[in-house]
Amino acid sequence: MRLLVAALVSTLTLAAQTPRLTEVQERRLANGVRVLLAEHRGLPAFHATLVFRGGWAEEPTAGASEHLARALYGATWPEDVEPTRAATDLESLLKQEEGLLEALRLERLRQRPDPAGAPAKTDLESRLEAVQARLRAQFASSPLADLYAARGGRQAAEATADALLAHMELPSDAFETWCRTEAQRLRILQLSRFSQIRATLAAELRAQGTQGPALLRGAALPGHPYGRDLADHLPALEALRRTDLQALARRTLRPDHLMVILIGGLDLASALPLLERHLGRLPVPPEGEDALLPEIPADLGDRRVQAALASAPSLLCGWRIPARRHPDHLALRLAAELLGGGPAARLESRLVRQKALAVQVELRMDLPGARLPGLVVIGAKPTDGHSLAELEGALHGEVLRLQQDPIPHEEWLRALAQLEADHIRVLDHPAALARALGLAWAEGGDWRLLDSEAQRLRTLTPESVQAAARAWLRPSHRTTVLLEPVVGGPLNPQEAALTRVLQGLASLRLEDPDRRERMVAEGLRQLRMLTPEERQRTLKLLEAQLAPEKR
Amino acid sequence: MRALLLAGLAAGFTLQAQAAPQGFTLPNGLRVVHLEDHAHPVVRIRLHVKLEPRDVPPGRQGLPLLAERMFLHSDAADLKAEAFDRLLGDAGIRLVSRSAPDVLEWRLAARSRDQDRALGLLADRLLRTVFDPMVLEVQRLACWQDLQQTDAPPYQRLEAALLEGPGTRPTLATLGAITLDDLLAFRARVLRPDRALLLIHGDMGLEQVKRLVFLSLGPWTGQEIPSAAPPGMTAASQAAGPDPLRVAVTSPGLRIQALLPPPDGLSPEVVALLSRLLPGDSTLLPASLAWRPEGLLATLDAGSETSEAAAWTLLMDRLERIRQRGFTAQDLERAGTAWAAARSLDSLDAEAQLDRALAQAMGRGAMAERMKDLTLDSLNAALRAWLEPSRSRRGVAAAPGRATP
Repeated sequence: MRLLVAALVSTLTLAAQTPRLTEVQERRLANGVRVLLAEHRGLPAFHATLVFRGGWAEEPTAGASEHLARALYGATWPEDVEPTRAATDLESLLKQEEGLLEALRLERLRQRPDPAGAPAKTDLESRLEAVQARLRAQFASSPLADLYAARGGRQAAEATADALLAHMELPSDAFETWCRTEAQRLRILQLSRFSQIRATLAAELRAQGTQGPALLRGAALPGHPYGRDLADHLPALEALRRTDLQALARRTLRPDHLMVILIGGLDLASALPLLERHLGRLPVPPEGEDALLPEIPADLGDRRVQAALASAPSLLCGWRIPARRHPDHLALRLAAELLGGGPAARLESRLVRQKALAVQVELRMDLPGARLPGLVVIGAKPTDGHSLAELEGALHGEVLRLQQDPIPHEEWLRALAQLEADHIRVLDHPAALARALGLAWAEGGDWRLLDSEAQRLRTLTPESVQAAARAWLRPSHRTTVLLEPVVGGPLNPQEAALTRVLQGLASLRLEDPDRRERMVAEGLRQLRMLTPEERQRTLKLLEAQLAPEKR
Repeated sequence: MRALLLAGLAAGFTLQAQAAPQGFTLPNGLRVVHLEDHAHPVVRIRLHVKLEPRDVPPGRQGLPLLAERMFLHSDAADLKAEAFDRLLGDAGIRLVSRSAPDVLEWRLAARSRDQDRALGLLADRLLRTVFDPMVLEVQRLACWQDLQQTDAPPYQRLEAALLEGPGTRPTLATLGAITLDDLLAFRARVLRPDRALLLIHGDMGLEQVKRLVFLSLGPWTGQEIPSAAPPGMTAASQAAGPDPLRVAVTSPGLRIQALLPPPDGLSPEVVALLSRLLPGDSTLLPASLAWRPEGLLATLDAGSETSEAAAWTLLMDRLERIRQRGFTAQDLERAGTAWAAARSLDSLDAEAQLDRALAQAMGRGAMAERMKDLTLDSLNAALRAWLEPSRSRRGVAAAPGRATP
């Protein structure tokens, strides 16, 4: 009876603790590929996530990671992964396409006004169309050509600041095919749809323009890859060639930078030999130099940026915080939960409901990544009748309260309960679990961080969280972006006039079309930070520098 | 077709590794579907209420959306909205709601040990929320600001606008016209146990579910429906929006999109196969086709040198090629095999299992038995009907002043 009672008590006690990640098994293949496998016997499917450490923050060419996510892992076309399909004809056509696209790009940038130049552009376009038509004829023409879709699978990929992640789900009986296909994908690196993907990405970036969060990152993390906005590098992105991307992929998508995370109806005993046979035989390129990333001191001073960008006023406030491995990082996560962890958290409760200062408020940690020091960002939109300054003051007040006033016990328990519940939901969802494990490895160097952080939460105290908040959420670590609406909308006549004048001035002073485009983009960004009256005065001054017929 | 049947049977056997859905109906008419899964100590609950066009009176577009916000921000069970959210937070329960012209839905995820509290709080939110006129005014404006999505990227705004039906798109005027009486009448009309479907997935046994549901939602009865309910929306009364929809961008490029909603009367099996066959078809290049629950979304990105007219011609030409080409018997078989194999992927995602259980309970789920009876002729006939150009809703993201046809 006593044994029964003891067993019952220990069971109840265990039930009250956070579940542990005991089901994950780790192996390393001969070429350095790391494998994590969580067996869920009886499941008829499996989830696989490939994590390549080192995301867009480390890419030597802007946009490479995003391109690889879309062109390499957006789909599984037979011509990209089956050696018989990687025929000479296809490769030859892809090279011809690359050459013609580059020639066309340079021709358009030169914008030759003389009549002799015009037919060359049309001829290039015609030749490109012909090559692309022949290329399309090479692509598998039957519907359901995507190999994974034909087997009932699905896939997606994302490029984060710290990693490239490719997610796939397939029936368990397709596992060997998957191993073989993924090895081939990395061997061949065909990227047959590269040109279309590049065009789509450039179009999306052009259409979206400058965004508030990118402005905040650039101001808070100046000169650091984390502060980079891909939209600022459009000329480089459009100049990126398929062969460049292939060369880059061979250097960076290395087996020793790869972790394969498998969750589902697989068992290690039968999966490991297949992994070793296919992914384990990927060649390891010579060791290159690790990207040297600059240090950014957190204490850069309180920075403020005002910009006329948005359609409605909004406030973005970011603080530089340490990387995931830092001892204070977990305490800051709990601080973030107390501030912005849902409808009952402080910011929404006080700023939205009680004081009706904000229409909405949102908090995000570890922007854009956590392998290096990043940002915790609070975004808020004021309600009608309240100014950004008012909202900013209230926000700072809440941060000060967190730092100074004792944290009520029920609020503390609520934050812990929410984080623990979130953790359990991640454990319950293979895709979320694989992603979380992969990011723990890419950001923190150890996949076990996912588990150890969840266990350590209960050891934190309110005082330690407040100490971390005082150390890191201070004015000298802060950058604030105040976004005001552009009068008349983002396409108002003043904006159009400024663009025209800047383009005119750029064409007078710069030969290189890429540099002209960068100058115009940078000029517009600087001018949007002025008031409408200042912009108008600046417009007049700039117009005066142009010849009358060009104004 | 034989291979399809075998694949379907194989999928059926493997799917037996997962517990089959169990259903029951409460005396008040609430239908319940239970999927038992003890892999992790988590429970997921979904309450689904299907809306009909007649539920939204003319000139009141946005009524479901505003009702959803009222539930979220109003007091419930003698608790202030904030206190209610604190109770949810104390137990780490996540409760989210969703509205669309054809659905109101609440989704809940909780640890197993909090299942009683979770279902109790859901019941409080549904049955004991008090709509306050002051809350209505605040939420009306917040709703409009949300809908505007003014800071979302233009391509995202274009897609969102296209996916809304033209007659269901709320405007400032229609949101402004909604009164408290409209909301109360809407609530009485739609939030009835006999119109709702409750789905529960996770770490609970069937008897446990029955007990809990009976205790929390057993007392649920429909409210009296106001006698002078105004006529609902009909297809004729739904005003069409501008065609094409236009979203302004600052860049010189051009994106055109056409949404093709599925024709009425298509079987779930045909939808399941066409949604697999069409996206990714290389005949479409340089255009692309994506599957959305609202229909097929065709997209073409063109450079500054291409006119809008030329872009539309190219896109429509690609769609027409597929429409005329049709599919072969081999395509049908491959799609059927892919569909059967894809069903196993639901085992990886509780929400996907709930989606499938919901579709089956609503009669919208594709069934293996009906799939094997599908013929090539019926598939191609459905294809031709679906890609009929006159049915498309069109949208353009371009710089203002760009040459239009």
